[in-house]
Amino acid sequence: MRRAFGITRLGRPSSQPGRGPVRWIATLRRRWPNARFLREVARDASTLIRAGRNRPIAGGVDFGDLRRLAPISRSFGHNRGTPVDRHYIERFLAAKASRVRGRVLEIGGNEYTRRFGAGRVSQSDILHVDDSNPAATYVGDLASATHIPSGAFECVILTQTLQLINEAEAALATVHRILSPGGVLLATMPGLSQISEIDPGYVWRWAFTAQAVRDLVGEHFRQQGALEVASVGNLLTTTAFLYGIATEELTPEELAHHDPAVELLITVTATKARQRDGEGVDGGMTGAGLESEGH
Amino acid sequence: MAGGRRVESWYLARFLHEHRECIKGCILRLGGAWTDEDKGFGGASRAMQIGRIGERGNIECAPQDARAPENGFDCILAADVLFETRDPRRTIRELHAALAPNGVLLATFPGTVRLWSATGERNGYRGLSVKATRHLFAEVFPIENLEVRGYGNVLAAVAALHGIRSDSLSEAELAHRDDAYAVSVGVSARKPQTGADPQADDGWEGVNEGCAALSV
Repeated sequence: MRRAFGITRLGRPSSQPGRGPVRWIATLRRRWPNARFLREVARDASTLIRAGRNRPIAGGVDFGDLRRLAPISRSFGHNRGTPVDRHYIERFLAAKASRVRGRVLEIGGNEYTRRFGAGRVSQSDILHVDDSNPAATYVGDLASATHIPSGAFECVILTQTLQLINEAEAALATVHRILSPGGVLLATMPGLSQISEIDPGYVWRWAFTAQAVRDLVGEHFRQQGALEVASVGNLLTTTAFLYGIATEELTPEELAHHDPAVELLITVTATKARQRDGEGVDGGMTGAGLESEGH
Repeated sequence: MAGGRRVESWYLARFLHEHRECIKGCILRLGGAWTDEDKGFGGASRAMQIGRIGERGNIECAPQDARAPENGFDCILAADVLFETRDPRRTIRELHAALAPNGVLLATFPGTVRLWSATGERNGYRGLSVKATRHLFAEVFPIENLEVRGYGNVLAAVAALHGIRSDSLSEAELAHRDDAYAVSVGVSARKPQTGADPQADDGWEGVNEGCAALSV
């Protein structure tokens, strides 16, 4: 069975007859798809009808500033303000700030450990994929980081990292291993996103759905209530993010609206079980050394 | 009703059109993202079979259609099916095993800006970047036999997200390719004529009990 998409998907079923003029214009446009005046008629009709229906008719969409093939900013809007995904990442971490405590591992730097764990963090560790980062306390690929001790961290902050890792499953196994019982993984992954071309050293591999993340992370955090996966964003903020329009160009209400069908970003709060299940607490210091594990 | 079609379908049709000379011989078609126009491709082929990807990432043929050729298929069309499974690597290996020597796999799947979940249609798994696609298929197919192409750009991606159909964009707007905004990724992968099979132990007969049992 074929489903109706497009304008009809938003309300009116496709089998229901439309209003006369709208159907005539659509028929004419199918017949002469390149006729510019018909496109204009459709747009004008759309403008008239939009007031009542708040939705342009097919063929009459006014794309405005967004009718362009290059994004407004290729760097996620960094040059215009705060990238929209950063807004959501920081909102998520602010809501979970009380869990950023004890010994905390963050990837690439410790900005969020310091900012959200202020006063609660006893030790801040940084994992970096290669030896280019002097602040790193561990060097290696999360997917094969056997040198990071097991059961050592009360919190692992993993923002926008999993999409770069080929063996995402293995990386999550490492995270589970190095968390202490009751420790928490606070992670975010891109849902709908442009590919970053900022750092040519990394291959951006995946985009995730909330369902994929639920399955992927749930593999390791199985007990009841351990896993909380959510999406954030809506059609407008996702559109803005894709074009590189910054957070400051949207209103707080627009940013706050949540549409579960449009997953701009996926957030994960995963807690490791308190009782020891054997595999998670020993065998950490295997003497694997500090080999760099690039892929 | 709107004219045009879904932006993703437009790209699927374009991908098939670009590779139409490969669609011949004994064909296996997987996936449900096909439109009536697309069925025209491969019309001159000897046999067209319909299959699907099973729960474990294996290939399943409908039993009544299952007359799997002994050497494998000359062409496998897999539209948006690879990432319905948890283990896309296994699926790629199985597709490789199901191909005849010199057979071609034509596969499409969502890029990073058009995930299935956004359509509400099914629980998709991952969107894949063009680069990652090349890496993933190169694990099984020789790199020189691989052609990976991203379709779409920021305007097409946003149009697709909003459910705006292809006739609202010009052909030039749809055809412009910007890999940072791939709506769809298309892969054409040819199995080598001879030589070492990287997954020789994962043979076609062992892979698909359903088809193999009924093959002559």
